[in-house]
Amino acid sequence: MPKSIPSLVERFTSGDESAFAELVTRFQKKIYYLAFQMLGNHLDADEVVQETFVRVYRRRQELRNVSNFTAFLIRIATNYAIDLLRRHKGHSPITDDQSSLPGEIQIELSQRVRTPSDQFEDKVLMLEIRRALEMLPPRQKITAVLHDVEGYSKAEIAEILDCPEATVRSNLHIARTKLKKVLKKRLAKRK
Amino acid sequence: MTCQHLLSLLEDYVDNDLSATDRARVSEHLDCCATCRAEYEAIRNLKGLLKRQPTTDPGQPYWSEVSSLILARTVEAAPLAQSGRTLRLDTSERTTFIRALVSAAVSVSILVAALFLGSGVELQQPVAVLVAKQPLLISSSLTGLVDANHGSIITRDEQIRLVRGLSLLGPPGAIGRFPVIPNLMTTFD
Repeated sequence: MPKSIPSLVERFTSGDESAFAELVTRFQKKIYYLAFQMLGNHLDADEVVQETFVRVYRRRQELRNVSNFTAFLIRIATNYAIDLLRRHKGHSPITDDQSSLPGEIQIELSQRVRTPSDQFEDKVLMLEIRRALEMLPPRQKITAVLHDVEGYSKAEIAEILDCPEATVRSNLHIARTKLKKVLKKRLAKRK
Repeated sequence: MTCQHLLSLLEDYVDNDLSATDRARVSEHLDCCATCRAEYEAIRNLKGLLKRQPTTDPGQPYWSEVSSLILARTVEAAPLAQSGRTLRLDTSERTTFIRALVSAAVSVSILVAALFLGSGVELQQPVAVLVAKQPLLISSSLTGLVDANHGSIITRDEQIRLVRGLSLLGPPGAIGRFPVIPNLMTTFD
């Protein structure tokens, strides 16, 4: 029977190393996908995954006072991703050559039968969206990714980013306004 | 409801964050206002496109490898975590620190080996000047140095020891970076 997250966290804070290993296994994919959406490449996503769990390990004593482990974990990951975004400011790490990444690309774009032309068009569109996201400042970008890509609520994002919900709303609104402006033609074409 | 009021509620409407009453009022307005309807469509389409952003699964070997790496790194961090201290070094600083340590260790070993190998040899002035001025050229001139007829100056045994000593006096890290030097050395054994 799978163990609950709070019980794993409690065992981990009591010094049980196997509980930490279990937490890594449970959350590494979530952190990787989130980091990939924020940073747009495998190497940075990999760095975020490793650094996030190492930081959690070092801060294990703090976990006794943490009520929401998932939010705590994602906060560490997003803070590190923001650091990387600021470090990368001025050049885009995004590549359209996804074939260089390990594993298979999982793209669920549509249920209908797709022609090579459709697939190419979708790939171009996704790249345009990613480039538009890349132009946003780190906080706005991460808010948009957490809300519109990953599906977190505004209240959850406020907890993750440790800021008022009004700030989340504001950042999300500004991010969407900028994205609408950049992707204006694309959005009009889809009507 | 005015268009301005509607626009202030529109994103919450798209996100399904409005009360039932406000939702009904927004719907009513959208049914009769083409401008606001266009704005609603734009936000909805944008949200739909962002939701479709592809994700990449790096594959099971990666997940196993990254788990092992994390656990290995936490073993390094364990004493710090237990003592309650915070390690301030980030990844790049740690890499630089490790490189500096390795570089220092290599430099010391090169110095010790050079002293040991060259202890019985007195360098001729022209060779010493060459080493001091052009250390990078040592690797390409070793064969010529050994093969040349220096019988009247030093013996062959002394030449071999001299070559070993000279190769170690090159720039730190030269040995191992240029395979020609170790290969050359083995031919003398």
